[in-house]
Order: sequence, then C-alpha cells, then structure tokens
Amino acid sequence: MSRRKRKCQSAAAITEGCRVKPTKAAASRSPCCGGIDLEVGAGARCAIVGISGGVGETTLLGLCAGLDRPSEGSVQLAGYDLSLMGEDGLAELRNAQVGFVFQSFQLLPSLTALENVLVPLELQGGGREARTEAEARLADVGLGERMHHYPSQLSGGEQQRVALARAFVHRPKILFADEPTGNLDAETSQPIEQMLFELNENFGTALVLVTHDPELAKRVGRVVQMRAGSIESDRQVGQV
Amino acid sequence: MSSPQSKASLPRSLFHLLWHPWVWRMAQRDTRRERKRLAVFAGSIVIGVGALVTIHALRASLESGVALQARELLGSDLQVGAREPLDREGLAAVFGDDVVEAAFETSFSSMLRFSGSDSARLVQVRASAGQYPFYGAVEAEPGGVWAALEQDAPVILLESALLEQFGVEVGATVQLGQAELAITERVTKPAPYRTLCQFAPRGLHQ
Repeated sequence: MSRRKRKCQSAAAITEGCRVKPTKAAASRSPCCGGIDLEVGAGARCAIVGISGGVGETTLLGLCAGLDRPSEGSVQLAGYDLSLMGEDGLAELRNAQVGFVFQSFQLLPSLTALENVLVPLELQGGGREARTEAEARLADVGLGERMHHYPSQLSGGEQQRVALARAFVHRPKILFADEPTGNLDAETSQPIEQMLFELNENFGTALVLVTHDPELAKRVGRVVQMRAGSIESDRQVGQV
Repeated sequence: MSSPQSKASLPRSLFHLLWHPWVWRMAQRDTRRERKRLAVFAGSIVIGVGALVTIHALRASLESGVALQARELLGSDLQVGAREPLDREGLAAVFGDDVVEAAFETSFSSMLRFSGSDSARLVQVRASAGQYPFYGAVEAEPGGVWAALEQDAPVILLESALLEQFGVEVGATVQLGQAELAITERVTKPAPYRTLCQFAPRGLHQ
C-alpha cells in the first residue's frame, strides 16, 4: 500500500502498553491536522468526533493506523514507532496488529465473504485452522449461513458485518473504524455497533472509531472532539 | 526497530512473490466469476500478437525477396530518371567513370490508335536504345525482341493483352501520333519498369 505524506504538525501516540510519547507541534503551510497528542491504551475505547465533517479525523485515523505518514512528529503503534519503519515493516505491523473497518466496507468483490475474512490470515501464512477461524468469526457476526456469498449478494449491513469479521479475525491489538455505520440506516447500525463492542470486549482489542453519531460516541465512553485539524476536547462521557 | 513478527508473511522479492501459492490462489479467485470474459480477452491478445507477428514476417519476407531479386526487378544496378533528355555525357557528369554500361529510354503515355478501326487506347510508350535490361530478359514472339530492334524501319512491340483486347495480330499497324508503326512482335515478358504497377499496358518503340 502506498503511503502518502500528510501534513500533520504533531502526531498521535497510540500504544498498546499505554506509553505516551507526545511530540511537539511545528509550523506547516496547510496542515490537515496538528497539535495532536493522543494516547489510547490496550483494550481501551476512543471515539473521535468532529464538529463538522472534514476536520481531520479520518486523516488522524490513517496516521494512527500507519496508512499515512505525518510530515512532522511521530506515531507509536503497539510499541512500534511508525516513523522508523519502512513500507514492508508497516505492512507487516498492520497485518499482525491492526484491524480496520471502513465506512464503505472495502470488501474484495471477487471473493466470497469467507475468502474476504480469510485474507488477513492467509497473508500471515495461516493453514487449515485459518479457515476454521474465519468461519467462526463469520458465525460470530451472524453470517454463518452466508459465508459463500459474494459482497454483491449481501446487503450493506451484511457487508459491514463481513468487514467486522475480517477486522477481528487475526485478533488485532487495535481496531480502527472510520464511520463504521456511516453508510447504514439506524436499524442496521444497531447490531453492527453492538458487535463492535462485543468483539472489543471479547478479544480485548483497543477500539478507535471515527463517528458523527453522538449516541455512538457516548457509548464508546471516551470522546475526542476535533476542530480544524486539532483536538478541541478529550473527555469521558456516559458509557453503556 | 524490527518489524512485528508474522508467522509466514509473503516474500518481499517480487520474483519470489510471483511463485507464491497465495498469489496464484488470489488470481484464481479473481478470475473465477469472469472466466468467459478472461478467455475472450486472452484470445484477443493472442490473435492480436499473432497478427502482428504475421505482418512482420510477411514484411521481412517481402524485403528479403526484393533484396534478392532487386536486379531483376530493376533490370540494372541503377536507374536514373530525368525530365530533360539524358545522354552518356550527362551521366558521366554525375557518376564519373563509374558507369560501365548504360541504356537510354524515353517513356511517355500516349493514345495508340489501331489502323483500320476507331479503337484507341492509352499506352505507356517506351522507346529504348541500348541493351536494356542488363539483368533478366524481355521476351517476345515470334522472333524475339532483338530481332525486332535490329530492323531499320520504325516498329512497335505490344503486350499480348493489348493485342487480344483489340483483336489484332502481329503484322498489323498502329498510329502513334503522326507515326504509322508496324507491330512486329508480341511481348510476353516486358522489361522492368521503374514503377511496379501502372494503369496502362506498355508499348515498346524503336
């Protein structure tokens, strides 16, 4: 995956072991985000919300997941300093430690639901047990009967559930979700959100999600509010 | 900093990656639903490449054939064309002493009228002096081209197709401009001409 260099004045530190390494902000001509000092501990939850759309929350998520590289500052993920890693190392880190759920699902259309979920395990060299694991994750999200269907044969909610199963199948230490229910109606969103939290609890996976839904943010507990590319507030709110 | 552990990650070398079973498995999955389209696509490429190879082979074959038979096709080592009358002195001025032997020909297109009828035909008239062609031969019946050229009287040799078209035989006469010329030979194999194709049959005039 090619990595873009985003204009980001400072960086978020997301560490598995709750070790924060904040960085100093530096001037930049037109930063997407800056002045950010963020830490998410192991198994913790964090919702990133924006006052309005396009305030840099998706950019921040991409930086944290190692999809983008900041122009200044550093990002630590699961104990690794991403700025010191090359492309191959980042790809391996993402494959081993990171799960990502996109708003638009990003399933491979030529693969069945089961094969989509299998991909992260196959990239790790998984054998027969990988298939069993993938089938179990699909059963967890209620798609045990539809695992041989292609994405085009599934509804939006089902596709997002496949994406969830794919994100959790390799037991990542941290899961990033970029508006996971943004493309779904309220009725379909509820079970998806429930599954996110259940999987987060069952596997002890840290959860960082970007959302514009205040109710979902409240359920997460910790809400990081962004404005114009920087963090405006970071607070705990009522949690379910 | 070392990268995170991965049980058996994909090889980093592109060459080794190409032979990795997972890559082939993904290719098989990718093509599974579009096999017919893939077959059409692959077939189109095969046909396209085959057509290109054939065209290039034909071109190479034609070029080598022309190179091998260039002298016979041209009838000489060199042909020089000029809008003004050209003689040996003119050639020497350009090529010096390199010209060993030369034959001169004046050619033009003209209407040829067959005596005793109203029939006329546009022909390519070639009036030759010298033993052209130097390579290959002009064949004519019944006596041969040189027999015709040795005659003192002005004669004309016409191609068989022209004679057959107008139903005339050797011995008849034709009118070329103001000149009345006897047909003494039927040309069966004409001399090479500098253009490989032309729109009118040829007539040779002495």
